Amino acid sequence: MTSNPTYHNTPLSVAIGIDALRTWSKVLLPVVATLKLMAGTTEDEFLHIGSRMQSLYQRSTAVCGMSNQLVDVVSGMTVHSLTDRLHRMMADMQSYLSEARGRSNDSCRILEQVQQLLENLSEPMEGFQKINKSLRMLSISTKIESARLGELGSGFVNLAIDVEKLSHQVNEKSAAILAHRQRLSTLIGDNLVGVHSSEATQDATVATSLTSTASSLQELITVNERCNRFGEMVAAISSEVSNDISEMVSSMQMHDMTRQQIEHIIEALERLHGTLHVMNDEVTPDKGLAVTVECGDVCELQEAQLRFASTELCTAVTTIIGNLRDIAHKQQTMAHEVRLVAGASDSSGGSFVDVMSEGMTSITSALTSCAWADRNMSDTMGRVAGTISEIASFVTDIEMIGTEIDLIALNAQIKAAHTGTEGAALGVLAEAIKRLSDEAVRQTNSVAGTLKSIYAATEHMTCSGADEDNQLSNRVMVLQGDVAAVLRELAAMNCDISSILGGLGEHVTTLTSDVEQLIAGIDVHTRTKAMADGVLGDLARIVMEARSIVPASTEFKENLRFMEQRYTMESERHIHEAIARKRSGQSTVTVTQAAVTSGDESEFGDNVDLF
Amino acid sequence: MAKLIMTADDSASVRQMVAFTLKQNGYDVIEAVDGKDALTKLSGKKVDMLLTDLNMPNLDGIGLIKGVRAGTMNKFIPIVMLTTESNDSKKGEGKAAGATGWIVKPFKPEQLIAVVKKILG
Repeated sequence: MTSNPTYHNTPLSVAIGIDALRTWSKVLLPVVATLKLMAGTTEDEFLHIGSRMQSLYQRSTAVCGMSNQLVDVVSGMTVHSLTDRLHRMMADMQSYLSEARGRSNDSCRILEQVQQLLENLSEPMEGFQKINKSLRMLSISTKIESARLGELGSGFVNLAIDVEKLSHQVNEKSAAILAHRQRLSTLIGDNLVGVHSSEATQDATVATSLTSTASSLQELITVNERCNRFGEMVAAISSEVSNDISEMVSSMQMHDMTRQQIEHIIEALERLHGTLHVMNDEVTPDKGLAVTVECGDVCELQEAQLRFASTELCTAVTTIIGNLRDIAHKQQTMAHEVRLVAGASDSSGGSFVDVMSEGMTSITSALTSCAWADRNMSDTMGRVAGTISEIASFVTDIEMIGTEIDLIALNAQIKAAHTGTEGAALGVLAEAIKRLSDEAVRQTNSVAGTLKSIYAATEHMTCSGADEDNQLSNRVMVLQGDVAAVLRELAAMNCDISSILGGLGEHVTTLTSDVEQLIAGIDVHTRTKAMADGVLGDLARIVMEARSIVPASTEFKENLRFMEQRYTMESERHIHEAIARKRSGQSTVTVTQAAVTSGDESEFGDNVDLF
Repeated sequence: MAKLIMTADDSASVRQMVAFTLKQNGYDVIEAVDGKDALTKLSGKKVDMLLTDLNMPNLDGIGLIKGVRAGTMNKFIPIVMLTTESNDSKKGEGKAAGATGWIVKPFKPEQLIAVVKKILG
């Protein structure tokens, strides 16, 4: 405050007011000193704000750059390449899994067919059992008949022994075939149970992995789309920050304009003070009244000029503070949005990439499971083929036994013929052996036919299975290689995202903190307003006292014409005109900096003229 | 190579804003605190453009324009007044002295850059 304590207690002189003139003279000295302080001490503060503003702008630009960089990472070539790969992987996986399932179904069908064919072995096996019993009985009968014939039937004893041996061999071979059949049946049964029970699990795993791949693909596509939109948002925010900076640059110039206005006010008040300073008791009443009128007019005008300048400065600084806050807020918003857009939950690392990595790992697991099931089925088919081969060798043995039985029967028939009517019974036995030989051949052919059918079914599978197995194994390896490559790229992308997010978070935090610190330190507008308010109070009181001695006149404008020479700003001239109109009884208009520019607008704006 | 522009203004904060705006747009800037300082710095130094305030101590903007036009090295450079003054008679005075253009403060950065680009091409 610049108020002089003695000023308030000064009695007004209605006649000439010489005491008032002296008092006003004393009041104007501290008023001018305060105004000089206002005009001269704000430059450094504005320079400081300007310097910090430049730094903030550069950092803000860097934050926008980092946001764009992050957007590039999650929407650039890497993501496009990953999207393409995932598309291909989906197709390959579906094709592979479909083929694997088809192959598994074929294998199961063949195994079920083999199992049914194995059932066909029951009848010949029972036949072999009967042949075995019959051979043993024939052996015994031959021995009995041979004993009855005595010397005549002695050759039949060896024949009986041969028949008994053959019965044992038939028994052994058929038992071996039965054991192998049983083993094969168990193997097939177990495998079918295993395949059917694992099918459900495999289907679930496959469904999960396909869903996971589809989900990862969708996530990438979504992130990509979001990033494309966010690129526009970053551009918009950059533009808004540029607008904020533009407004700040304009507002920063208000300091210089206010300074010039205050310097003009100082000049006017110093001139008035010079007039008042020479007033003494010798002054004539007319001169005293004239000076009183001048005091009222000058102080009223300077009060208006100062009020305008002070308000403009305060508005400019408030705008600067608002813009600074806006920049910090926009950067915070952008940093927050970019995290969401990039699919990152926080700067510590969690991102959509983690979810994708988990999905990729489950795909590897599913592929491994499928490959294992495939190999397992191949093994089973190999073992089935092996067992079938073993059975086939027994069949060959039985065929040979059948041939031997046939020879024995022939031999028996010849010997029976030699014994004449005495050996008729042996002839009957020889015929029985011959029938058994035929039966053995029939049953052997039946077994061999069944085995040929089984062999035909499994041979095709085992032959083509080896190639297919290799192809499928290679495909699984390729798919697993693709998954590993995708995982590596995702890890690299995650690393980039984490690094940029970390830097972005740090930049925005320090930027926001610095803005708040800068704003907290800006008090130039409140200090200058306080000084201006003190001066305005003093000027208002001088105006009131001067007008109470001599009311304002319409001569105001002409009396203060000299002041117009000093004005450099249109706003000053408008204020002058407004006060003049008020004195002449016309309505006033509100003056703002924006309203005082000339109406001739060039292509660059209404404040630009190119000659 | 970046174009070199001189800004002459007795207000350090205005020079700061002009320099900031120009540098952000790829121009090099040298500063002068008044007309006299500007003439001193321009002697033996070729610049591409001059932005000057009108009211400055020691030598004002009109005096500076006259001084530059009377010289040799920068005789034909574009000179734009950047001032709070919007009086037409003052503009006429500036034009007569050799000013290329007139911008009334406060300027917007994009306005200043548009004018500079228009003039310097």
